[in-house]
Amino acid sequence: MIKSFTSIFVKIFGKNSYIVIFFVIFFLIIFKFFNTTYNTYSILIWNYEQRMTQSYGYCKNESWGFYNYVIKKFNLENKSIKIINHEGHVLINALFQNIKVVDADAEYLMVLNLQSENDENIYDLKIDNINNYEIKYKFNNCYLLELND
Amino acid sequence: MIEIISILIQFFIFLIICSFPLRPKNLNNIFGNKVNSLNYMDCHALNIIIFLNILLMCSFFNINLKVIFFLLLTISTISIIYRREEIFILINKKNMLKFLFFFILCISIFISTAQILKLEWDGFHWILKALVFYNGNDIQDIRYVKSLPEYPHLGGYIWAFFWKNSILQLEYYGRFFYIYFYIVSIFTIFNLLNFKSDKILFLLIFITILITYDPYLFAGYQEYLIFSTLLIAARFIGLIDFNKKDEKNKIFLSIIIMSLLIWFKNEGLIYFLIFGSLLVILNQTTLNFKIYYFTTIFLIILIQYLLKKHVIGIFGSQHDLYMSEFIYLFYNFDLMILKLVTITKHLIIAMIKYPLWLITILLLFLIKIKTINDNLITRYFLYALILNLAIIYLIYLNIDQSSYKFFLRVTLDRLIFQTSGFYLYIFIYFLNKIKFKKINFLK
Repeated sequence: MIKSFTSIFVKIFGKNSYIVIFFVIFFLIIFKFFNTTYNTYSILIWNYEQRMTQSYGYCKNESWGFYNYVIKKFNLENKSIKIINHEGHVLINALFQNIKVVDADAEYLMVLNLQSENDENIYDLKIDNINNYEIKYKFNNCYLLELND
Repeated sequence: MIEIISILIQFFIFLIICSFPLRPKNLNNIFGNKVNSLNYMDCHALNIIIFLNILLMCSFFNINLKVIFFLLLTISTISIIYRREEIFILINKKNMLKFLFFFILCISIFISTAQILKLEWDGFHWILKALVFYNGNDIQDIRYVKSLPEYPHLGGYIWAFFWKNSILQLEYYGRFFYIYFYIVSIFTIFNLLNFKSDKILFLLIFITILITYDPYLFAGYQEYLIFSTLLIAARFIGLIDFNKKDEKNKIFLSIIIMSLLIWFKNEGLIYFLIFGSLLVILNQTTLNFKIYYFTTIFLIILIQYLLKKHVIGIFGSQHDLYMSEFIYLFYNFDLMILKLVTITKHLIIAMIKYPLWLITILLLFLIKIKTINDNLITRYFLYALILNLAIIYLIYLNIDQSSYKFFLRVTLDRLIFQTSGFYLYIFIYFLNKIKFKKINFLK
């Protein structure tokens, strides 16, 4: 079997057989180094939003999934929002172009990855005017709060 | 599936747009020589430089990104159809293999970026500039960007340009151009190699990518733009015969290539000034031409200043140089020694992270300083390296005591990385000195 395969290979490529083998191995090494086959599989299996959630986390790290969910669910486009990532990760609001991020007097407050001890809740933390807001949606340690009328 | 197909299309869009206007024939008439003729990849690299200059000009006129794109794509396509016979001649076994290698590298990194997607910390500063252009706002709106508005905008403009003009209009398509530019620049610098074995060339290119590829820096950072521009500049500086007086075109071309640096990042201004000035000083051209080149360098800087100050309306940097800090250090010798030691320590750590510097320094010792001094072009790169390191020391000595350690930790590695490609010339010079002929494998 192997012998016949080798003879067919040599018949096709002739003297260039070893060059072909060299380049095939070389290109396979490139694919392995960049993880190309797995990455292609991943892109085919998971859509853009799913991969964004995998990369940034749903309610961890930058929490793209939480942003995406609450913006769609509560129709936050063009609403003023103050965002706090309590774990210190960078704010990724630039990836959502239709939300208006402000530092004060926000209609909504988004607190991500809340860090708390023992029985502490979100209202025990030193966040400006936190008592003026009520929880609209909570997922694990990520909160969306709305300003009381 | 649609994402994979549009990634492939994006590659061919880059290929088409960057195939215009230069071609090997007319480039060789101006810049080539018998020893080192310019090939299609050199043209491609220079076309990218021209393309970036066109984008830079367009960025000040607030022209619709789609209009620029379709105009450039149409002109490039017509040019390719017009030159089809010339392109058909290029399609042979050797070139196809090289193209396949180039294609596989680009697509592999594109797909890797598309899978990881994530922007890193500074990426969220730079994307704000890209968004100004993506949303079709005026260039003056850069002033209102929340972080680092004073930083140059060309990187953001390129990002927005390809983001807006991609099939799916997803953010990461805009960053593909950085990857494409990086791969083209590496292929271009290796055109300086004297031996023509494809296998060794492919291995060297791959090893260089192994050493210099950092997905973190493709996550919205601008360092690769400086890195790639310097690689292309080094390729064309490598063509200059420093002992000849008649190398005006090549020197001018190298200065024009390096002038793009000032539009990518603030430190690009320093690189342009030291690498450009050194090129003029070490050249054996006439005094009149030296004055002409220096005037060109200062005019380019002046134009950038005027455009940023009066068109965009903002000019400055995150850290200005303060003489008071140097004076303070001068009277506190212990503190100065402590700072110097800390900077050196972080410099070594950064060089371990990006080992191209270590390879360069090791090669400098192997080639021997004396040999370098005999050769004007290697002397140029040696002096550039020394000045580059001196500037790094000056920058961090100037940052106050409370924060310099923080900045060393978070910025020095990137500062080291972005110029590392420039010294690849020394690596290639070293390889050109080795006799490879006896090795059968290379035939």
